Amino acid sequence: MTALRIDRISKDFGRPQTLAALHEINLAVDAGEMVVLLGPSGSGKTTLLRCVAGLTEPTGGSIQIGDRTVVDCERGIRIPTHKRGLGMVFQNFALWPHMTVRANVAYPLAGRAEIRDKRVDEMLELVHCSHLGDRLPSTLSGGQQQRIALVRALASAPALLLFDEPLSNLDALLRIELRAQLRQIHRVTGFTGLYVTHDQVEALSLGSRVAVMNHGQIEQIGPPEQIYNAPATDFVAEFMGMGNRLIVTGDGALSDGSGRRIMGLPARHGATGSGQKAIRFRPESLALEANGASAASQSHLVIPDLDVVDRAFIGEYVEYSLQSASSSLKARMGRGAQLIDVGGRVNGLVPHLEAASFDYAPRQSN
Amino acid sequence: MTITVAPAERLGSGAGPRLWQGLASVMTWLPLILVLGFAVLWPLFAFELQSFVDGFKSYEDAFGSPGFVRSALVTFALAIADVIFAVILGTALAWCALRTPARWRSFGSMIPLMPLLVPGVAAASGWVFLLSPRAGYINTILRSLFGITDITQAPFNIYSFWGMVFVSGLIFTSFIFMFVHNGLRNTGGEYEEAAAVSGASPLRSFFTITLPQLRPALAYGSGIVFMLALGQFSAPVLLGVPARIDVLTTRMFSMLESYPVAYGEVAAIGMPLLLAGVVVAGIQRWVIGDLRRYVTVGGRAQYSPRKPSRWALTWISLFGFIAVALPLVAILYTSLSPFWTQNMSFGNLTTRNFVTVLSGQNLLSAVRTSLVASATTILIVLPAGYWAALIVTGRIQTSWWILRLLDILLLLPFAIPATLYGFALLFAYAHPPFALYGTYTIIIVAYATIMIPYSTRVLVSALIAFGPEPWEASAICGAGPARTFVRVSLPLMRRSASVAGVMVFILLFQEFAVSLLVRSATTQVVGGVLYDQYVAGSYPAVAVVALLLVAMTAVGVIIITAVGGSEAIKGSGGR
Repeated sequence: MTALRIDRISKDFGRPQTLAALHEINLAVDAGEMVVLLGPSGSGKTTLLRCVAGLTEPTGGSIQIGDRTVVDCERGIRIPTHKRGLGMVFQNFALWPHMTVRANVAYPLAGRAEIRDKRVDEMLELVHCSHLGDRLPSTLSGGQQQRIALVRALASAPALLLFDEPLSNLDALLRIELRAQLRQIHRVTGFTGLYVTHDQVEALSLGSRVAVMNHGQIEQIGPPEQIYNAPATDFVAEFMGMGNRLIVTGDGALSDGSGRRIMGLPARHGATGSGQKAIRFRPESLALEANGASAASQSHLVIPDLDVVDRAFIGEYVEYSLQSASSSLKARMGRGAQLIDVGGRVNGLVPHLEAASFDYAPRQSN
Repeated sequence: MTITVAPAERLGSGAGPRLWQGLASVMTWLPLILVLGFAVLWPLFAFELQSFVDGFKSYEDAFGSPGFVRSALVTFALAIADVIFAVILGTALAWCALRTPARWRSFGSMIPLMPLLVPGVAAASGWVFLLSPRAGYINTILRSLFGITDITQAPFNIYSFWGMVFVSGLIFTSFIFMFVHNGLRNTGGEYEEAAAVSGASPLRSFFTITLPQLRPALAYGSGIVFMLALGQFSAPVLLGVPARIDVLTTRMFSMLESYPVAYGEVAAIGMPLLLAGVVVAGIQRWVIGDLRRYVTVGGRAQYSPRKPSRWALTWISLFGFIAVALPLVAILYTSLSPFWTQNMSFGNLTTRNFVTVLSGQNLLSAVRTSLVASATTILIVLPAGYWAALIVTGRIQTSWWILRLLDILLLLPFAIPATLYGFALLFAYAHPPFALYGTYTIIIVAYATIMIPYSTRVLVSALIAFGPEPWEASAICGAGPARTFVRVSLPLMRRSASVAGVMVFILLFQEFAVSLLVRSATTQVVGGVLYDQYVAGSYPAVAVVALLLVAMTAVGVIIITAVGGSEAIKGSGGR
């Protein structure tokens, strides 16, 4: 069953431009799913979330929550936020400072007092905060505040829970802890969620599916493994950590004019045209070997003549900075690997399965 | 706006058609804009229209009358002198405030703001008691110190151009202090430390590093001071008029005495002030855009303390002593003296003045009028100000030109000299179809018009401080507008609303120019009583009323500080 259907939602801001614009976005979220909107700032992910919440008015398209249309620009339908039956966790928690924790959690609940009290107890129990009920939000730590904000959103068992970068105001350790707690609560209660973040680790670990957004559009949507292993576009690949990029012509020559070629170009992944291609891979996928040591390989692509310009010991790994005529590459080698001196010249090896290639069009002024 | 929805779909959608929604969204701002637009613009328009009724005859009469050119020059010179005085003293004080030792720092940053809290008329009366050529206490002391027996000889004369500059300049110093102090605090001390490390002397570092950083703050602050100084009234009417030195506002005020009032001519005199106010305010709006950009770039730096200095504290204390303590002591002493004479003695101090003044019907009924008028005004400007604040902060969504219009409506009562505004309000509401002269209503309408900008400003900063999330969270939780207002808006805004209310109350008790114009024999206000006693020469009575104003202000300030914290005072920056 579809819990949320977003149909050709657009948002045009006149002046002043306060949020990123959206261009005809389609997205369907099934009941019980947690869909994460991932993207850099300005990609439109928060705008989309606010359109679902009714805090921002889209300029085109429609949104259905459950089987009810909450906004439809063509038909002039607009259900105000408070009638959409939502829960939402805000980036800065947004607990009302003048209400106790109990009052905050009870706020979205309707019905008789005993029933509400019981539900509040249940909710506080869920996040192990029963002892905090009578405190004011300002006396709580950041992690406690965010747990309360979470159960306030859960309290009325809404059809759809919205998360607006809920963990970004917390420090690193707390973030990991709350992420695990959130996964557990999602497993136990089975809520349907739409989650906005710019943190790829958070997105991968929380999402049933991840939608990567850029310039107001969804570039790719799919299960976390698919997004990570098989990025569909150059942007998604870069955002997912494939920081190394080589530009090659259709026949595999490096497009830096040096005439050198990359051997063993991969056939799979995005590239379809016969023009220039961008080849992307992660620093940890790049292995280095002495120059001239190997010829063409069946399972790897080989990048010839890389100059080692720097070597840094990071702890878990050793990071090499490499220069190939026009492009800079990074390689991460495990601690066990033999060290290569700065100033040396090496070949780079990348397993086919860990490289992706995309049609490349030189970017216009951007 | 066309509706293309078939009836069946409309029923099924659960929401009203577009036209109805469009109308509902217009009603969230239109009534306020209409009422505010009428209240702010119509009196000015109707009044200034009078200056053109006989072609340009009003202008010929006004500008050609004897002494006009001199008044205009004095007005301009006074404003320039005030700006220079305030910029030098205010910058120096801000510099000192940041260098006071840590445990005195809050003292150091509050003292330079104190002159804003002393009612302008009270401060001016205090300085009259101190520096009047014949009986001024300081002059008397200096004469006896130097053995001068001729009482026509006096070292200082407060009834002069420089007397006006001094008394009003002290108040404007606080404005400049406020801007420069904030500016210096935001930029932090690292830049000066970097200059010192690079080998710059403190003097060179001040002129090459500190001062250039302060350019936006100084430009903004001196613009505001220039605008206020052009339209000032208290110091000129109490200090300049006795010496036959007129500025444009006192010139306008003196025409209230003639009957019938030549409104056309008054409006003509006011026109240059109106234009100057609008131009300076326009430039301010243009600069503040730049200013905000500047702050985002440089605002990252954290406050880092400058090297403390004991002298800094001394200079600030000296300023506090001269600008606040001296005039207050002079008022207190005069209020306890049987007469105001050059023979100072502490032997025959008496409370008789208090008994006389406070038991007189005159003051009591004026206090009652002021109280009723202020309280009613607060009941109007709090809800209206909240409504305006919702629009200004974007909680109620409108188009950008509505925002711009509202911005102008909220700026005008501040930018246009109170004397001019007072005349405009008097002209607009004293005549048919309103014919409100002599009623409480005209006072309340006038007060509400000039006070809405202040209540709005306080509520806007509160809304910005809370951010939109508490309201959004409430809507997400399923609460409708009414429940959100009762459960979230009221409790969250209660504190700032109290601060705004008390602030309006203080400002209205200090208000002088508009009050003097819209009062009448039957509806006297406290400021009016002070002015009448001053003109009649009953100086001990003046002192008693001035003390009353100071006391009411002090009570108000204490309430605001208790409710809203000491930062709330800085938001009050009144006239």
